[in-house]
Amino acid sequence: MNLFRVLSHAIKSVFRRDQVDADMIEEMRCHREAQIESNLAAGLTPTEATRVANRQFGRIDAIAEEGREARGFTWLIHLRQDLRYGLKMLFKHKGFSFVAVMTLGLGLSVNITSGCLSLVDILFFQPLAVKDPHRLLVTPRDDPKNQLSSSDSIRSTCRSSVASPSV
Amino acid sequence: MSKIELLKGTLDLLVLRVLQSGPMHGFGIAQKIHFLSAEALRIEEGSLYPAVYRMERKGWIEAEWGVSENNRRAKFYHLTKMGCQQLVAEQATWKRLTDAVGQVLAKAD
Repeated sequence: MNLFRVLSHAIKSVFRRDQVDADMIEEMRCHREAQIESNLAAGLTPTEATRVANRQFGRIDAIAEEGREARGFTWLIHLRQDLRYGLKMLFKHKGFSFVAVMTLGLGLSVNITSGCLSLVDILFFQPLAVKDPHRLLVTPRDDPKNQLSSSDSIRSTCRSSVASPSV
Repeated sequence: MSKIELLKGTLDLLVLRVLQSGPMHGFGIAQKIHFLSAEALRIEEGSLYPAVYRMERKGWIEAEWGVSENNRRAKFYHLTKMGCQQLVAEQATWKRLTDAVGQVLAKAD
């Protein structure tokens, strides 16, 4: 419920920004009119009432800007504006965009495939860099259920395979 | 008459408390605070609306358009359940703060 509310608020702030802004301006306008009415009821003349209300209200642009900031997600709004501008520029200079995309694409794809190939090669196809890798054994870990421990099995194997006496 | 500077977050507490008695529009909230404080506090719109939008974003209050007493269009705010809980918490914090400050002021000899 909380996440839903945050998401809907984010979507409204970013994608319905104009409507939310218009709402805010309208709300402040209504507030100002109510203030003028209250001033009139307090006995001020109409011009005085308007002037006092304007002064009390302050600069509406600054307040509107603060209101927008208070709503949050300004970073998202700026990100969206930057993305739109970037895309517009890309479409405007099609030749440059084509060259840039091809360069990036070819460069990236060649590097990635060669990187993947060499990784697979090292993991699966190259023999290990030791002397006589075909004589390597995989021994099981010491297990209380086994009668022999792994050290016993290595000694017995070495004795059986090495022909000459040890140096 | 010099301006009283409210501590940060006190305005939120005041707005939440005012809305506890029922939905109200922005102008009404400012008027009520001004009246209840015996005209000592005048909430400027430049502080009221950013605070209100911030609280709306946090989910403490919700807004909807309606018609005011003078047959004028206005946006009415009301407390949510989260807002009620927040009000209780902030009132407790306020009491602790004022008690603590009061104690220091009274006994600092």
